[in-house]
Amino acid sequence: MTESSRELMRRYRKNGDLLARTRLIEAHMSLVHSLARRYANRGEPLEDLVQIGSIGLIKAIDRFDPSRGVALTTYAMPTIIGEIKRHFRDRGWAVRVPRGLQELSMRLARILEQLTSELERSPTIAELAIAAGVGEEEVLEAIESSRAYATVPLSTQSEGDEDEDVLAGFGAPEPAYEVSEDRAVLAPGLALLDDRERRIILLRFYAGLTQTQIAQRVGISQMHVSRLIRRALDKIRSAIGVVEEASTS
Amino acid sequence: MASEITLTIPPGREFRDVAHFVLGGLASRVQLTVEHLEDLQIALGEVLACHGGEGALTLEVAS
Repeated sequence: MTESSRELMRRYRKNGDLLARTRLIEAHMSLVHSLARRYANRGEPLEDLVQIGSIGLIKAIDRFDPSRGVALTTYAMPTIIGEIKRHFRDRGWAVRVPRGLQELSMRLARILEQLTSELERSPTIAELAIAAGVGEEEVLEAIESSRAYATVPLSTQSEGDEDEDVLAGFGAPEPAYEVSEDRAVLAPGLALLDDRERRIILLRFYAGLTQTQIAQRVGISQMHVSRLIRRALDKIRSAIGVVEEASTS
Repeated sequence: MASEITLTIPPGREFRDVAHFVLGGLASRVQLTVEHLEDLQIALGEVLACHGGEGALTLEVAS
């Protein structure tokens, strides 16, 4: 641990200085990035792994005991890796999917990204199959199997671009009664979504952007956008169901 | 030539995957992009979820 890290840790441990804790976290984020990169290309976006890893880092900083004579980085490394591995274990494939199909699904996700970039549009099933050197049936099976892959809900700060206008517009007065009524029905569900899910739902269904356009704007893959839309709709549906049950009982 | 498939799904969650596979097969035949297929699969998922699984459900997919 460097002198400044030692001093920051001392201030945090002794005085509960939260600013020192924040600086410690920032000073060790390069370690999180480095470890997260090891687990990239396994079906989860790097940014999500960094967020998961940073939770491990925070836990390590909070539990670290300087009197044991171990460096903070040495102590934090297994905690960060453990957090990332747990993420894969707990939130990975929700149902048993054969390993070959899992691998094909992940390979197709990478090819899909490449083709979308090359063609400047989403590829067809046939184009994806040719690029992957497999049959269309296998592609369809792999796409279906990827629906069994669940991802952790992670809040992502809005980048503060023009999407802000879309979000602001959703809360603004709207003359059309039907729209207001829809909003009232959807409000409990939207409130359950994290920032990124809400942003994606509004961009897709309110601003009318395609999944690919949203993917480019948010910085994740189109397939990941699709998964997040599904998850967000699940949450909204559940919330509406709860409200409806409560109002009829 | 327009393609049209009518699919009647019996009650039960286990048949929902069949509907998703049929939709995938249709998308492949009419050269839909993966993105459009994903949109349709999401819509189908919502239809199936809202149906609640009571009684058979008939779906008509046309292109």
